Amino acid sequence: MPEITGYAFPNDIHVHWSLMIVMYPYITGFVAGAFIVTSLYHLFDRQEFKPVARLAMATSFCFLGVATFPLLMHLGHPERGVNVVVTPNFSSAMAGFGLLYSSYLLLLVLEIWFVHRQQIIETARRSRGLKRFAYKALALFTYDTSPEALAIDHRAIKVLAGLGLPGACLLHGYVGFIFGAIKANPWWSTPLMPVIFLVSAGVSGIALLILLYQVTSKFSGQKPEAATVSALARWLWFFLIIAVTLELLEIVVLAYEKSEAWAIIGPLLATRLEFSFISVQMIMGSLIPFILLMIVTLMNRFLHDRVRNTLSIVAALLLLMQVFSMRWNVVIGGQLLSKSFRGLRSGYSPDLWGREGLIAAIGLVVLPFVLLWIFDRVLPIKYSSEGHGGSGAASSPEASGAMAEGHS
Amino acid sequence: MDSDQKLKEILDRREFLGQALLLTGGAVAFLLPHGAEAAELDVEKEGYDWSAHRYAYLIDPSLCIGCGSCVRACKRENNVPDGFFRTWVERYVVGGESSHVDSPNGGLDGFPPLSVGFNATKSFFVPKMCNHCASSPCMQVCPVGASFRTKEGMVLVDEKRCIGCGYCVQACPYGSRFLNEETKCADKCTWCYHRVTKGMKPACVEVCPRGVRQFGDLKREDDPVRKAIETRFVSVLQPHLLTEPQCYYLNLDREVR
Amino acid sequence: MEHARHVLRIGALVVVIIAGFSIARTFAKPATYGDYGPYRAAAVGEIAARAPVHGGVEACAKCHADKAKERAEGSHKTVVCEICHSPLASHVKDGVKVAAMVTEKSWKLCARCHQQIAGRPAGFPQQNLEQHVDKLEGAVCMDCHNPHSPKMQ
Repeated sequence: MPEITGYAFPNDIHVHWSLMIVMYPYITGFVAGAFIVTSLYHLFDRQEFKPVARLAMATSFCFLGVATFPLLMHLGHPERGVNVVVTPNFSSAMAGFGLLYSSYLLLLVLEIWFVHRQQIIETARRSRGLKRFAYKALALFTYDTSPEALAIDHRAIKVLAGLGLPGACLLHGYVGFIFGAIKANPWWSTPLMPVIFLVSAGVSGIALLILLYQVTSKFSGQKPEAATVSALARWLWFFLIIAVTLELLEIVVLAYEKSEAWAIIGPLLATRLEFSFISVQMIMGSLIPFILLMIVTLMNRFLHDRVRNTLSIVAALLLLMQVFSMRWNVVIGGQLLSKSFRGLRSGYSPDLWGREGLIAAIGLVVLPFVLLWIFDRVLPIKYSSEGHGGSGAASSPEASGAMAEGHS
Repeated sequence: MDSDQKLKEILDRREFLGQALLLTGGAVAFLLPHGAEAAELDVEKEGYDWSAHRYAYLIDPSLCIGCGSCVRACKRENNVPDGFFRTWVERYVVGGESSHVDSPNGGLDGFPPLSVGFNATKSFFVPKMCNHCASSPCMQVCPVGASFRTKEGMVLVDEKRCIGCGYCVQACPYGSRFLNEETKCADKCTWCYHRVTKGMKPACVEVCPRGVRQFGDLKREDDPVRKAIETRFVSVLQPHLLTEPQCYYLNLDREVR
Repeated sequence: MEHARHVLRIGALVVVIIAGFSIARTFAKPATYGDYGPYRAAAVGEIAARAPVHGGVEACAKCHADKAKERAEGSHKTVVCEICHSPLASHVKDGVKVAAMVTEKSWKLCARCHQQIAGRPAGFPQQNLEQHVDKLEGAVCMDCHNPHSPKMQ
């Protein structure tokens, strides 16, 4: 039984939204964040992001693949989860989930298909037997790789990227809205919430790609592009500044207005969230990476590649932790205070085993990377159409962009 | 006159916005095939007309002795699991400089003697339960339409549709909902719908020895609850949230939230 | 357009998927959903059909008229039977006795209402129990008070 300080409504002492509901925005945050990175290339033609564009798209897809799992693990009746799309009650923000999720999934699958189409066809032509049939089916039994067809692909990619970016932002901003529009809970109820969620999704997505890019480069025996790493670090710094500003703004407004809720949120921050908010989220997770990324951004010219890589990796790791602690502090923090505004329950710690336990959560974080590995086996992320060898190791980073946009 | 016009304009605009939102929602909801005729309800077959009632609940905290009979009756009547409450009783001990609130086990076993570290000048009990809000946040946020409001004004949970997401529990500002660990569904006070439809009173009203809790029908002209709401000083919990609670409290102290 | 064949194919595939989903959705929708609003109307009847547990004084009086009369004339006239006794459903089903009535007789039951504590209205009869009786144990209150009509003669 949790310990209560002050008075909590007797039904208010349970943390019904547990670790899995912390995981859900964390995972969809990678979906949106990675898509932002891929859009910087596919939509805004930032050439320095070309080496990570396809990796980012695949990452977004793989995280999207597991995004429903934490929700299903959390539901009291997972077998009824489909009710959300069968009888959606559109007065509820949550009812939009099925629609947003499936339309974004559709967009992303289409975009991936158009980006990889030539590659699928070339693989089909090279292969025999069942594999040939599988790729042929993936290509929808048409082998058109004429420049005209590729031009159509390119236009389609532009359109899909243009739709996908607001789609990704909606999908994640909407997660923030689910919390931000609960007027019963002062720690959640703010219009800033969707924006905070979205911007910190950008932080986690870019941070993850800094890591993934450098790790995959290491595995394939190449040096990561200096321009790409410094561009990622610069954007990460930018998103970090906005995210932390908004996170602090929310609290400063509550404190400065001396709102009714501050009487309980003040103690919540000072006692229950002292470690996870002040120490982890703000100091270790925000201040230190802010300084590291400032060095990378402002002193870029003077940095040796290895120094830049190391600094950005350390900052990325810290920021991955920052975003997780932000999700934790929002989701769990909001349930530590009672709606009586008179009491706080003792801190919550998740179980180790069980549906909503720590092991399951770790599994959920690992699973997208397994999916990414499978994705890479089916549609190699580093693929050179000239090489025809299909293996990523042989291709240069410049060629790793999709051939669909290669001719532009 | 002028300001009236303005107000009307604002309200019209709000209505328009609401309708625009609904329209978008409707467009999004594809084109739902609709059932031809609404089937007669099972409750109506037994001679009960659910559109002939509009229930309301009246609580007079000044009479409450904190015996907890209502909490026990509710638990037995509705098989409420241990540690969760469809209704509970709070005790307020208030002094000039400080106040103390408690509700040990929801008041299920009554209240123990209490000594506070300040000079208490007043103390009283307040029974709490679901307010069956007319504009209820819990119903609004249910993604699958498992929470709904009957024509009589009861907010109920469909235990065959509820997915157990807990969004309604988070959205209720009164802490009236919980996730039932047995059914894995959201659970809450029903105003004893199964009793009321049979012409009985809710169990908590039935057992209250002091007449603190009264159940009434706003569609009956001579109803004492309706009379009290119309003529006496009543308030609701957390009125600033505009949830339109249907549990009315007589002479509520400002300490009560 | 001859080079857009793949676009048409994937477009057709998307349309087929959406149509398939919409059709499946119609079948999965419960029959009475939406009859009176965005909910399953049959649930109303299901909830109404639950059996009441508490019967009320009149139900008790059918067999225990003497006790009911005694209670109705005493100072416990507002205290219904099922506060101190168990609910009707644990004792009688369909008019037939199924189990003995469980009755709590401990002083603790009396104390729930009559122990002097902070919170109770001033006019309500309450006692400082340590001073009121020598030893607080068992059914000590019933040594002097008849719970059906507790006023001392």
